[in-house]
Amino acid sequence: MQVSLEWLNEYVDIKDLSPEEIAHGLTMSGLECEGIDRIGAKFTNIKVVEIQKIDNHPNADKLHLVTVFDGTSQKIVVCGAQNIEVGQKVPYASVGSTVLDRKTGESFQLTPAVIRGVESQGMLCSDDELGVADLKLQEEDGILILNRIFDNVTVGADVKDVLNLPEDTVLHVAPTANRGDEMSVVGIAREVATIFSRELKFSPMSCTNEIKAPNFEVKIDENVCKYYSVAVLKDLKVAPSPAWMQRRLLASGVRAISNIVDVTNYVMLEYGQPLHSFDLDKLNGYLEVRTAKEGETITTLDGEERQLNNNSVLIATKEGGVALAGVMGGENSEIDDNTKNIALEAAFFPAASTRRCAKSVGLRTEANARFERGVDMEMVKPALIRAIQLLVELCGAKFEGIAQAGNNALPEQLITLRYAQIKRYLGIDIPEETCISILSSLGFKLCGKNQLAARFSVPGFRAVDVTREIDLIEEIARIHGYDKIEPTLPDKTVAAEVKKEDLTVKKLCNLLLGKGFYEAMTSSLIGKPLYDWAGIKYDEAKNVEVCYSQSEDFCMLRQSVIPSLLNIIKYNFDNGSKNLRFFENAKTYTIEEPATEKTTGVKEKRILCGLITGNANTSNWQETEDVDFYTLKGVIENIFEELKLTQRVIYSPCEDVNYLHPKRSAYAAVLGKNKAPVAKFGQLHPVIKDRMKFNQDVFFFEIDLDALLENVNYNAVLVKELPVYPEVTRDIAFIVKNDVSYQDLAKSIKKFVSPNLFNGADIFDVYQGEHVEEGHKSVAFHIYLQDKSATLTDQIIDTEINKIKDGLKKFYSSVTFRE
Amino acid sequence: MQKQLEEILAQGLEKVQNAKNSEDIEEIKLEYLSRKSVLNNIKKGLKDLSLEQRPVIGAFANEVAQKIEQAVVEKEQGIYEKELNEKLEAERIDITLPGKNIPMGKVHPLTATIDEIVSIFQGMGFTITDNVNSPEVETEYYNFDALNFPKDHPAKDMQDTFYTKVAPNVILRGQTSGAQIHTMETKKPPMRIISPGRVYRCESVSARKNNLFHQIEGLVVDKNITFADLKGVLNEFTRIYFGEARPTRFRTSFFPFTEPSAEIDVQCIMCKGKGCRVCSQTGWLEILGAGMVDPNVLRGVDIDPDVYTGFAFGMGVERLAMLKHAISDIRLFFNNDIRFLQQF
Repeated sequence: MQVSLEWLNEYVDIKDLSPEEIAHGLTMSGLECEGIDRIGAKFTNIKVVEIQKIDNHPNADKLHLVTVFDGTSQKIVVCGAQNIEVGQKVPYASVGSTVLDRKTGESFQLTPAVIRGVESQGMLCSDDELGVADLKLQEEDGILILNRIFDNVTVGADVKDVLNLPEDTVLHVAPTANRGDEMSVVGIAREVATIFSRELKFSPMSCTNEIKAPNFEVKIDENVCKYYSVAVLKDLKVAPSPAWMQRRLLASGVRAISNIVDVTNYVMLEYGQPLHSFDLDKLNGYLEVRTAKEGETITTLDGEERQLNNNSVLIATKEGGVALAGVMGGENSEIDDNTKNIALEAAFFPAASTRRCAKSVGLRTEANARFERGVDMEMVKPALIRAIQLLVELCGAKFEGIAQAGNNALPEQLITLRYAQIKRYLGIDIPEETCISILSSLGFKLCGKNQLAARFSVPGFRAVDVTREIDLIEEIARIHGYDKIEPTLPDKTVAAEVKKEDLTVKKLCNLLLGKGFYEAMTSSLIGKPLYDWAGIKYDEAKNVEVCYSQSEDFCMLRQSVIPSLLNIIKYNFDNGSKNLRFFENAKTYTIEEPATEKTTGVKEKRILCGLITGNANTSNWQETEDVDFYTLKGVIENIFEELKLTQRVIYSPCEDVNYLHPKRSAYAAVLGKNKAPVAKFGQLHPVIKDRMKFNQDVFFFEIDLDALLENVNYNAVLVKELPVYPEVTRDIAFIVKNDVSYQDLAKSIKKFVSPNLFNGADIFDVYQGEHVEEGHKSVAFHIYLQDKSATLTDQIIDTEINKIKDGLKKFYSSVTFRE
Repeated sequence: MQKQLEEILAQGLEKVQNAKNSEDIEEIKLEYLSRKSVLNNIKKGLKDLSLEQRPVIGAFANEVAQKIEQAVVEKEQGIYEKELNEKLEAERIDITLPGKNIPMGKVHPLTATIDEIVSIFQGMGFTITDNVNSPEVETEYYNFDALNFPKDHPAKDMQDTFYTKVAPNVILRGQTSGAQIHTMETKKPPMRIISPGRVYRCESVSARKNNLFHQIEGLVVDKNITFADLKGVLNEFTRIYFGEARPTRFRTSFFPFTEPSAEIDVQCIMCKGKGCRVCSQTGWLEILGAGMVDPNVLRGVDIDPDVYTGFAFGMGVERLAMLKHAISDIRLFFNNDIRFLQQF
């Protein structure tokens, strides 16, 4: 909303306050001021000159060299306008004057200019270069010919004085959703008066002897309209409204149209009560407020035909709708140049039904913005009377009477303010007198008080947002000033609880960061196109889909992180980055149970996921190698080791995940209560890789964080004593069939050695090729043995190694040892 | 014999003088200072001398040995240093060549922002909410009704909130404030919680707006909690996050779930209060919404507002990160362009 300080000054004396002071005061107490505009001359140092001579420009057909006289000297300026003649008095800007850019409207200082080889000593100005195009001073384009518009224009005079531009300042304010009262000049004046401890010079108009309108009947549906009144006015003369009214409307951002329309807008801006005028002769003496029927239509003032439904509320004659209640008038009852008689509407439409009505047709207007925040029931009648008065004055209207329906009396609302509660909520004492004076200034009427409390009656214009004691306390706090409340800290010291699980997740993220993974954040809101592009299927029955979205790319919550990860790769590959490591602490979303009033039934699963591709190290001057399955597996193993789960992890082939290479991917499960895999990882399926036109292999991992964390033992690690006796290492190498897995061999070796001597086994060679039979592989292990209580003898060592050899031979039919 | 010793001394010193490297030194040591040295041979011959001459020659022989040894030691030191320097010089590398690349990841700027903010509040005793108390898919009850939104509040419009086909009352939360209700339902006061998370708004994606972003919600409920405490806690936050010297202001605002409500501005980081494009010429940047928990909200979760009071606050993570790092396009956070992430 825009408010003119000139207008505001009519209701509260603010001449001694700067616009900045007022803006700051309003902003701090809850009416945010988003900008200050100064209205009036935006130009400086423009003089009236007389054109004495017009010559052609030597180098340009369309330009002239104009000799002008400013009262003391002659100047020659280059001018391209076609409407100039000798003898005209026109605005002249010399070098250093401020004028406006014709295209952008921004003001700038005129600098010396040479135009097509001729120096111009300033310029002659058009209306838009002076910022006065809105005043429509002349019809034609070109230089503003002052002597045609104004009498007695003197050469050398300041154009500012000639144009007599009103000086005003406009504040752009943004009332909060609960403050309908601040959508009016009077309401803002009341705030200003209270903030700066001044008197509000306003008393609502009243009418002592109300005349009932002859031959006019109104009817309402109380669900959609509490009170409806229409003033019947006849013999109006449609004309432009007076300049002072036009100026105020313009300053408020409303275009002047004609006296009748302008008066309704003017009163709405002033009192906050939207009004509407119908052409009386198009109504047949009857108006009713009712809910629209499904399928009914109305053509609104903006020329749009609107399809209505049972949320729409109509003002209707017996023939049909003539206006959308509280939103916009209809074309069929519009005021036009032939209008003589009008019906002027002032009504109270409840916030909820107006909002539904506006929504039903997708319209937002000044009127419904006010009804939605709540208008003052007690101000409906005074606003109507104010408008009648203006119409009689400005349009020569004959007032015939008022037709009304419903009740415009507001039940008295009383609130008790206990002084002790002020300190309890705000933490400071505010003297009783201050509280009472603030509330009184805001329009709350003191109805009684004792030592502990005071009782106030709520004015109609605050009936919506002030209903409780706490609301009064807020009023006191905001006017007294938040800055006067000395900060304190809650008087108890408490330690923050830090959950072990949160720490663990953070540890895993840090581990991945240390392994070179960048943290990603992808959109959890995705669309079918991304799934289709990635070739990933989702479960329709479990899908969390939104009802409406601006784009099909954002219409469901993801069930899989893979499309998002593929998107990261594509994005970065396209931008020339080839060596990528990313992880995300992401979520997937699926419907698992039916929703209830308080539960959604949607499961949000935490997935620690990521990808790796490109060179293992990216130094250009050293040898590099590409990452592979085992690079990724190393990371996965680190994660399990970080959680002390290494000994309990089992890897198994993962052949049923459609985006992974079936022979180069794995599940990892943790031995325990739940044997389901907690992670899957491996190489991107070559079919997807080819479809994406990726030139290098990519490796993914997905870890079900919730399942993984279930297995974590948060007990502190208890340290084992360090060994005193040395560990010995023996190597064994043997050939087995290709399909025997490392995991099985390692398990077997462990099984055959005496547990008290076994200190682990490491594979250090896997070989296939020359000297090894086809379908077989040679593997070599370091075997570590240690006795906690003695140095091992060769004899014992040989026995243990032989136990392994015998065991392996028995276990795997084709095993042969290599020395 | 005296003369012979003098010759040995002269010869020895000359050899030391001419020694070029540690090998020469070793040779000299062998020749003059070892058991098999010429001097030792002379000493062995002492027994053939007269009793008067024996101590004189003996002493002189020792003197010769000492002088040569001293010369050797001095020479040796110089040679050692020279040879060490040569060896080190031969091992010189170009230390300006880049280090071997040990891959290094970077934390996402939004996570970094969240972590920094949360840790400030943890220092003031705020506990991070459980995941289950901060779901992204919510019912209208937690996102609106329990937060004292009127039945027909504009925020409930389809244009603002993502409604889902899961059920008519199931939505993607538009704010983290629902975490307040979940927590108050499961815990009794006193409580101090902080709850970062992802929220959704039905909006067209642009440089300034995304349809999902992150918020951090805070809540304190206890006996004797006042608006002054709210100011104190948030002042501590802004003091640490923006620095001691950055002015802040509390101005009146409106939220359905707090009363009184405030918005907190910090002096514009870009123009330092002079007014610029970033702060729309106001000199201030809005960074937090806050207020005293509305008594209706407390009543709704069975906390007696006559016994307990509380305050709540919320802030947008992207906005703070964009201000801090001069990021002009919110979409950069979600594109995961390595060239963007590498800059942090």
